[in-house]
Amino acid sequence: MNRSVPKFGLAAMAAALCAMLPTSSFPQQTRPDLNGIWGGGVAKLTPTTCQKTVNAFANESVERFAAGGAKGGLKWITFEQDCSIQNRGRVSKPMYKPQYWEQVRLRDYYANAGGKWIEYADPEWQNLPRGVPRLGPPNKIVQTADEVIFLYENQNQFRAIPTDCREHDPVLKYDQTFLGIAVGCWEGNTLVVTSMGFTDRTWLHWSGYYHSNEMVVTERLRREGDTLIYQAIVDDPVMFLEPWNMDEIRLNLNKTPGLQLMQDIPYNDKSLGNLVDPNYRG
Amino acid sequence: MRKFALLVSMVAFGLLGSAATQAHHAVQAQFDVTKNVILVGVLKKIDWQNPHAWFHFDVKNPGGSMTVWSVETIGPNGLRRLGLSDRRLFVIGETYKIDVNPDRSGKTLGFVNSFTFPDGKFIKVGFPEEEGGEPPK
Repeated sequence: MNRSVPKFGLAAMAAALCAMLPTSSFPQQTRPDLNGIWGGGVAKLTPTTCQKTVNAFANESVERFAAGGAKGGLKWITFEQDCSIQNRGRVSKPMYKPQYWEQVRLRDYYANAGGKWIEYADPEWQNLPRGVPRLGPPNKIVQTADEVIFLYENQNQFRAIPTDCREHDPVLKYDQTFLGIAVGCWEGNTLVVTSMGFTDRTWLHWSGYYHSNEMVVTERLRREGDTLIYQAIVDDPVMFLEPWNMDEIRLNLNKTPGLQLMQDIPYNDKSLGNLVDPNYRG
Repeated sequence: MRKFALLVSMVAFGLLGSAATQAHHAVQAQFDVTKNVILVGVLKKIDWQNPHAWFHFDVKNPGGSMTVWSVETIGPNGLRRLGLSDRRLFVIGETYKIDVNPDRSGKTLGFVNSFTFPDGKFIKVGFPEEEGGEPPK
């Protein structure tokens, strides 16, 4: 520094210079890189056109069935019950206000029944989109300087989300969409996505967890090494006593060469109302 | 260990993950998994859709009359992962042998456990009757 300027003068000069500099000349904070295919995608599929015999069903040796002597289709005998236990056994559950408990139970019980219980049917069995947050974390993220694009294999859905912390559009926030109107904002190394403007036609989860139009979904995404950590919170002031913190989901970056997303085929359910035991959800 | 085994089975079925089939489990509620019915039929139509792909066959009954059997299997995402999504595999007008779990209500619907192709190729996608043996008990 120029020795002829006294020290207190230097500080005053530095402060004056700093006050004059426009903030855009300071370097942008480096954001975490969320680009990539997380927990999804396909690569190196092998066609079976050339093989004489293919056993495409690999679970013949499921221990508990073999131990019980079950053969053939009887090996399936607890398949659906196991799936329902997995769904109902999740640690975190939404706290509905008491006046909604019966409606949740009716949906859980009659989800697959159809017929005269059609109002309680799982919307996925009616060929509707899963919606947010039931879609879960994105299978692929494309990140630019001012937005993130979330791509989902399920029903080939996508969400283009600005990451400039803007206010939600005053008209769109009262819309009734399946994926919500989303705005992203970086909080340190975590991308926080806030979505509103939802339909009430979707379920939050297999268990009959329905919701109102007023729901706000906050999703947090951060990267630790090659793991994407995704957590969603559902705030439904109409139906919930408190916001629902859904279980965290961790996905690994899929680095397989030649990886690409798999494309989904439209959903055309033929089982609703055709089950002999309509309450057999497993 | 059990949970791992179940997860392995679900992955093999292609039912885990992002496919629409994740929430759709109703096989035992519609089809009798304790019975295996072997049919020989001419393929007339394929519905390549979620949550289940459907194959429709003209089956000749012992008396000579024809019945249409519509049978479902896992969805396209699962079939793709198993290498069975090549549309040249299933040819309209060809004759296939199928092993199905029949619909509980008596309708001519079924869940397919195996396909035997015109060239003799055998593809197992479920729990078929043992090849050449007794039907499973």
